[in-house]
Amino acid sequence: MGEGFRLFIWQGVAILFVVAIWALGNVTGLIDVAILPPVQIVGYQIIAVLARPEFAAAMGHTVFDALRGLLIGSILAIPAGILIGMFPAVERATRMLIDFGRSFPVIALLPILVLLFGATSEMKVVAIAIACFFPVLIQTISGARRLDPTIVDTIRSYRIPAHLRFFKVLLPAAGPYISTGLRIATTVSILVSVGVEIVSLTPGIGREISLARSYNETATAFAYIFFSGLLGVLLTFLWDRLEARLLGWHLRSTAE
Amino acid sequence: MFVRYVVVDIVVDLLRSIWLPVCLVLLWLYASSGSTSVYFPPLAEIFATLVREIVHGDLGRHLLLSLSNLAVGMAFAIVFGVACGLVIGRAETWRRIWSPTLNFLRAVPPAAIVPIIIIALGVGAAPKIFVIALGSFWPILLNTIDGVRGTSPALIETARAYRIPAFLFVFRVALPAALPQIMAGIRVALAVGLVLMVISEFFGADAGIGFYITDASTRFAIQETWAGTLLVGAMGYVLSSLFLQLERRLLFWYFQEDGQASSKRKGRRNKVGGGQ
Repeated sequence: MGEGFRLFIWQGVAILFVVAIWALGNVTGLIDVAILPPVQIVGYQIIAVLARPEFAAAMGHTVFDALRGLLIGSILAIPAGILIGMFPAVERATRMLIDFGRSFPVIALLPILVLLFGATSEMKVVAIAIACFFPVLIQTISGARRLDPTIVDTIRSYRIPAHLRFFKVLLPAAGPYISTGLRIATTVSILVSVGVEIVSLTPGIGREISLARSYNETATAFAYIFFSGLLGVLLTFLWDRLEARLLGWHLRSTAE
Repeated sequence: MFVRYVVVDIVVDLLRSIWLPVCLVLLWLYASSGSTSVYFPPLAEIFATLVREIVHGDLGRHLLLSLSNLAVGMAFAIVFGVACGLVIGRAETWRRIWSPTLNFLRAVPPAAIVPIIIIALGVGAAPKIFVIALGSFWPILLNTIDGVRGTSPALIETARAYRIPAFLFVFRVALPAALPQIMAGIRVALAVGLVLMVISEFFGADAGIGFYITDASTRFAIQETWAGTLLVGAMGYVLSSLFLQLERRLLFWYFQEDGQASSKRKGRRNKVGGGQ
């Protein structure tokens, strides 16, 4: 029973505190049950929803499509980012386009995407890929630009060929930045996935939330919302573990 | 002579950064000029529709309505986010106790709450403002907490040694010290708010730019859909550029510091999450 255990208990107390406020709001009628149903009913639905056949399928759709979009977006963004970062003139010329793309709310593209692709999983993947492209691109560019001048000089004096420079120098050097970009993009991919499903009713957790709400099963909708949040926490956690393994060399060298 | 050189410099500078966007727009104009595809109308016609809808139609009104919802929602998020962040960030144990709860709440896709809030509270401005404020709250809160934590202990000790009153401490010491991180949080929150502004207008709304786009697309008015979408993009770009200017103004002292500040800044940039 050390320091860690006490902290753990207090963290549990904090969560219970939030739940208690929720229950108090329900009892006193300060919180409208149409917005936030009673806590015990949502709690029950969180368990009950697990037994539903559509639950696993919805989870699978959301995660699988999010990962597909993430993969496509990053495969396009990483080489593009390194190329842009290598040449200052290209970086200047593309800055405005990138700023436009990063500040564009992808969800606003949805009506057009639905017109083009229909309300399909492919459309969802396209939206996710566009949304994931920009954070990875921006981080990769800053990674490729922040190359240590001594490394640049060394490469030049040894006349390292372009392909080696790309794979052996630029890619590892930009690694920590790319990793940050990928982490941001992972969160983004789930957010966009759920958002697209809610609006366009493509299969996934978002669709279940929308449907449950339209059948007036608000508690079920909250159960799905709970799991979508859990998904985000889980992915961030997994990403941290993976990053520690892949970039252990970088974390160790900057730890001093 | 000298003035002429400066002017030439500015022009060359501008050309270097806009030649590619200009070329792409021209290419789009050219490639789509003879387009008979229903889904890709000629860009020139989209622009004409955009201008016509703003001048003669309702698009301007829709845009203003959306912007006012965004502004009010963001204002609430900033006030509450910064206030809570200053309190939670002050005590390390307090922060650690709350971190699992906050991390979970932050991970909930804000878009998920939109159908519930909008259907329960109706089509007015209040539910949209609530959704925008709620979604924008988390990045501001978490960044403020980080900013307060990153405040140098020497600064706090000095303030304590001089017995700076609490009110002055908050407004003259804690807030300015955390400001770079807070601004980074607001920048992320702005992107989140923009997305929520659009989504909240997709659901049972009768006005706003998001409503305009979905309404046009369900009527199969492709040109209006494209025009509205491009306008949202332009709006996002203008808003984030304006915010960047504001950030530079407010944080001129921060960007001036060199050496260690640049590494601090790197850390700050990397902390922030994506919008969407």
